[in-house]
This record gives sequence, C-alpha cells and structure tokens, in this order.
Amino acid sequence: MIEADQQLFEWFNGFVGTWTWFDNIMKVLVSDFFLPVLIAAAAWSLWFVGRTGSERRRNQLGFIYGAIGAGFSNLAITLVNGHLDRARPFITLEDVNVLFYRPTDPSFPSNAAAFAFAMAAGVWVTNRRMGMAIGVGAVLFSVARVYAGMHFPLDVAGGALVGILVTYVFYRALGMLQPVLNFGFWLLRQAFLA
Amino acid sequence: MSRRTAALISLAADYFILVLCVCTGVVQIASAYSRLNGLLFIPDSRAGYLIGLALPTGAFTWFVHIGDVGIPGDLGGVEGFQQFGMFLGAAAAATGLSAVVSSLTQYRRKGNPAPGLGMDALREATVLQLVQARLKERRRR
Repeated sequence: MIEADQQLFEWFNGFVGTWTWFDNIMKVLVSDFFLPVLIAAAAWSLWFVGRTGSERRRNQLGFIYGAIGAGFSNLAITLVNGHLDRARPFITLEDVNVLFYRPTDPSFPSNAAAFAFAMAAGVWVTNRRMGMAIGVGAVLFSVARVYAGMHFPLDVAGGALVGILVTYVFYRALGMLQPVLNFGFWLLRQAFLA
Repeated sequence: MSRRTAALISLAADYFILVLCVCTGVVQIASAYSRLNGLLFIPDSRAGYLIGLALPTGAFTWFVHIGDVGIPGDLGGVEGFQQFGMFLGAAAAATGLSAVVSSLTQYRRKGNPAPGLGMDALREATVLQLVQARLKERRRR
C-alpha cells in the first residue's frame, strides 16, 4: 500500500514543470495562507448569515461544529504524530518537485487536510450548500498539497478521515450538551452576538 | 532574538492582519446579505458587498506583495494550531472592529433599537445605539 502510495505520488508530482501556468495556480492553492484562510472565513461568515433567527442559529452551530472539529483534529494529529512519524516526500524520495516551503512536521496524517475537511464536515451538518463549497476547497487544497510535493496521497486521505471523524464525534457530543449550548447562545444574544 | 524567531513573529503579525482584513470583509458581505444594517460601514447593501470584496482582495494582494508566501524553506511557516488560534482571535477582533466602525459611521443615523432581539436587533440599529438603549432601560427600572 505504501509503495502504491509512493508511485501515485511520483506520477502526480511528475507533472510539475509541465505547464508553468498550472504550477503557478498550484503555488497559490497549496499556500497555508490562501485556501485555509478562505475556508475558515467562509465558515465564519455563517455566524452572521440567516434571514431568520433560527436559520442563523443553525448556521452558527455549523461554524461551532467545524471550528471545534478542526481544533480537536489538530490535537488528534499531534497525538498520532507522537507515535507515527512518516517523513515528507521530499525527504523520503529523490527528485521531488517542491513548490512551497518545506514543512518540518510529520507527513501522515495531513494536518492541512484534517483542518479543511473538519470545517467542511461541521458546516455540512447544518448548511449543505456551504458545506459542499468548503468541501470543494478542501479537495483542491489536499490535491495541491500532493502535487506540490508536501504530502503523499495517503497522508491527505488520512487527514481528511481524521477531520471528518473527529468533527462527527464532537457533533454528536455537542448534541448531548444542548443546555450548555443554549446558555452560551443566551449569553451571546445579550451582547448582540447571536 | 534569532533570525528564525524574528521571521516567525513578523510572519505571525502579518498573518493576523491578513485574517483581520479578510474576516472584516466577510462580516460586511454576510451583514449585507442578512440585512444586518447596523454592522455595515455604509448602510447600503451594495456598498457592503463592495467593501467586503475589496478588503480581502487588498489583503491577499498585500500579503503576496510583501513576500510572506515565499517563506525560506529552512524557516518553516506558522504552525497549524497557531494559525487556528490566530484565526479565531482575528475573527473576534474583526467583529469588534465592525461593531465600532459601523457605530461611528452611522452615529447620526436614526435607529430603532430593540436590545432584546439579540443579533436581529442589528437590522435596525448599531451596537452603540443598542448599548445606549439598554442602559436607558436599566436606568428607568
């Protein structure tokens, strides 16, 4: 499986340099400072969106699920990395084309993919259309990370799985903590924030 | 201070400014869409969309221009959890900034404050007008 993963990576990363315009697009998409900011901002926008109070509250819950899922996915990956330290492709393999800076943290599971898919999953629970849009962003980000030589395909698949699973667990857990959420929303309403 | 620490602090500060501008733009667009006029810098939804698009576009252009996207390989970037924390901080700051700026720019505009409605009250009044109305209510009691 690892061998197939490396072969798929080498095939995909081998396209770097073929089309300069495509590489330039990928350089933007792979950046930590573009798609992740847009994904988080899109989720954040839901805090204010809603023609009615109940629609806005559903959207706000979506942001909360996504943000908590993303935060705990990050923690889960830190814990996994304590036991599993897969080296980045540009360390493991020769002649890897790297389009961005060389991260120093372990490759598996991808933190970037976990964050993006956690946000998409959290938002998808309450707002299908925005969840799908963020999901497209998450897929683009993950594909770009592999193309740019920063992750193996299995890393981003693992990261996506961690993000979705952790978000689902917290979505279920928060469902049981409804009184706490209600109190939180009541407090925010006093400050015109919900 | 080492070169690495100085570069990371500078990058983190630039990242915070980037996210602050993007989130402020997002608040303007979302407020225009949801008719939360009390959060708009200019109480007109078209202006809200325009400011909301201009702010993130300008911020991303600035961020690319100053060269933070091309961080030297040996320095690495801002860690994921740091980015996440800074995003939440910047998003909260953007909400505060929107509340303050809209309260100032719409200071003379007559509102219809109903503090009991939560965020929906921002359709008819600014945060400042709502706070004033609440204080008046408390004094009456």
